[in-house]
Amino acid sequence: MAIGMIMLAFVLSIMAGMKRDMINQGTSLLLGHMQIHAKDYRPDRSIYDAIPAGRSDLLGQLRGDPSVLGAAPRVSTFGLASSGNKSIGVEILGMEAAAERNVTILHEKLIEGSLPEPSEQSQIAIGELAAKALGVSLGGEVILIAQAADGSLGNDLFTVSGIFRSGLDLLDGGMAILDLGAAQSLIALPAETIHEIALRTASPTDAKTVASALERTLANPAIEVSPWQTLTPELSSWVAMSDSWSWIMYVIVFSLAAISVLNTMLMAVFERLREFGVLAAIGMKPRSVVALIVIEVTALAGVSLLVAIAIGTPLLRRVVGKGIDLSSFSDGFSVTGVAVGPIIRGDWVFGDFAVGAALLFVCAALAGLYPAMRAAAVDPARLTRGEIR
Amino acid sequence: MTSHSKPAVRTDSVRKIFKSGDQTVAAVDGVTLEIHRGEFAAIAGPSGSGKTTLLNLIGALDEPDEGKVWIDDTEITTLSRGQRADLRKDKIGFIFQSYNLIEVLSALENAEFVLLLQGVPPSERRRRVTEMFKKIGLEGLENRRPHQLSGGQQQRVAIARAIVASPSLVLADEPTANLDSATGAALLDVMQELNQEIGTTFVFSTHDPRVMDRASRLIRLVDGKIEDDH
Repeated sequence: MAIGMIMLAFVLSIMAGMKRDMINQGTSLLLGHMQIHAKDYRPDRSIYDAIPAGRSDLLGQLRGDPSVLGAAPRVSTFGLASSGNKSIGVEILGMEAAAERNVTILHEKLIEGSLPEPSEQSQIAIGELAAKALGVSLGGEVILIAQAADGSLGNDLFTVSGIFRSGLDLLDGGMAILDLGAAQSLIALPAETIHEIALRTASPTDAKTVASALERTLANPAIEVSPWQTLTPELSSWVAMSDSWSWIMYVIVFSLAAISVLNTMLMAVFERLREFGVLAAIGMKPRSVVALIVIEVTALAGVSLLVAIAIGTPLLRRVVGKGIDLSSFSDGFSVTGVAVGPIIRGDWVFGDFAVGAALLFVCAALAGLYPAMRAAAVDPARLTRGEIR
Repeated sequence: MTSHSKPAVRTDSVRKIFKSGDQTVAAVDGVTLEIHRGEFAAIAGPSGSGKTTLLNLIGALDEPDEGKVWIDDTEITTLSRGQRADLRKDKIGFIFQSYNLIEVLSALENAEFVLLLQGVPPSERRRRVTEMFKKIGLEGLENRRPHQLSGGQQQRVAIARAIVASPSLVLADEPTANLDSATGAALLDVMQELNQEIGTTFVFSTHDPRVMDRASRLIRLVDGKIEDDH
């Protein structure tokens, strides 16, 4: 039973850690915990569906809200990046590097240079794969061509200020990051016009609640505040599936524990038939015998819990602290568009541990009922007839 | 038959049948008897005569196929399993041939178990068991486990367990069968003393003539029927 408890705590910790990392990675790289758009912006993401409110006023309002820890305005479109005779299709994202640092961790993914800043010579940051495809390096030049909002074809020459490696091929091979002003200039948008505002809050798990509250506060029917669960339904589904897996683990571990309790207690009852016969003969009621066995099983579960805490705590401390390093097997992988590193760290999910332990107690007590009823059914007359040794 | 006040045990045409394949055997066959309070009665007879089965029926350990059994004024044949357990706890003490002490408990814990079932407070339990141990020569052995005691000592603990709760009836199934003659005689001395001092009714089964000689009443069973009762 103790091994079952340790296994359960280990798996719950790992799954919670992976879930936490998946959500953090999925939201912190570029998405943010939530985003604000014009009502019709998603899913087509037309450059004409800009947020119908003054950028400065809206950002001022958001940054004054205590639930918002960071707000980063953006414009977004699609275009063609070329260098020499090489060209690739890219998603163009205009952003304010300073504001972005409060919301996302893209700057941490730079392997060379920095994010684009406002400057006379327009700057661009591209992914490692895009740089390779275009044959450019830091300081190299890239031409961007995109449909502008005034119907013209916007184009400009950009100097590569940074090269990033996110671990996601989609970003590393197809994303061009510009300074917000440069991007607006490229697609002929006024300085006050933006397509989205990415937001960071205290915790991604509260995103839905905060998004609803924020939408009510902003009270603008033309804009919507979407939590990450809405923006990336794949990640949301993965999280839901991960929760389902936790329940499957509960069922597996509890079934094993129940079988082991059933087996142990049945053996114990068969070995102690004489004892139960004596107890019945001297006047112990059948229901008291059942209670005795259930108490014994619960005590067994209690001892198992203590053993599990003693052995499991150092193990979990290591799993949560240093994590499990799988770098000798893989450099990492991506799930639902989220890059997962090769080190998997667990999490202290004390609530889940407590629920697991409580359920294991209930499970053990239930599994002990059958042996208890067998013990209570021992006929004391068999004792004097010599049928119980 | 010795005559004392009201009967502690009464049976009326009690019959118990055991089946083995196609064969049926009446282990107790129409036994009617009365055992009065304070008697020191022996049920004697050869192996297979039905001594143990009769004790089981009197002790509410087993149910008769026919007939009725009363302990004091309670007809036990109509009681449920739980009610029979309560009756055993409150009115009957058992002494088994092979002692049947609980190995994981000390001598004192074994002896006080019935009191525990009766809900007697711990201090009172200890007092009564200690007093009983002193009376039957077990003083100083309170904390020993059964395997640390001799056969005679274990049977004395069993006697203490049977009698410490002051039952109206003590049933002993061949209590001296596993003991040498000297130890068996000493044990009978203890039982007889308790019978005379406290007035507890003792009914024991035996096929040992030396034990029969000690009984104030001897009931002889043959093939499940009373052959002689004097």
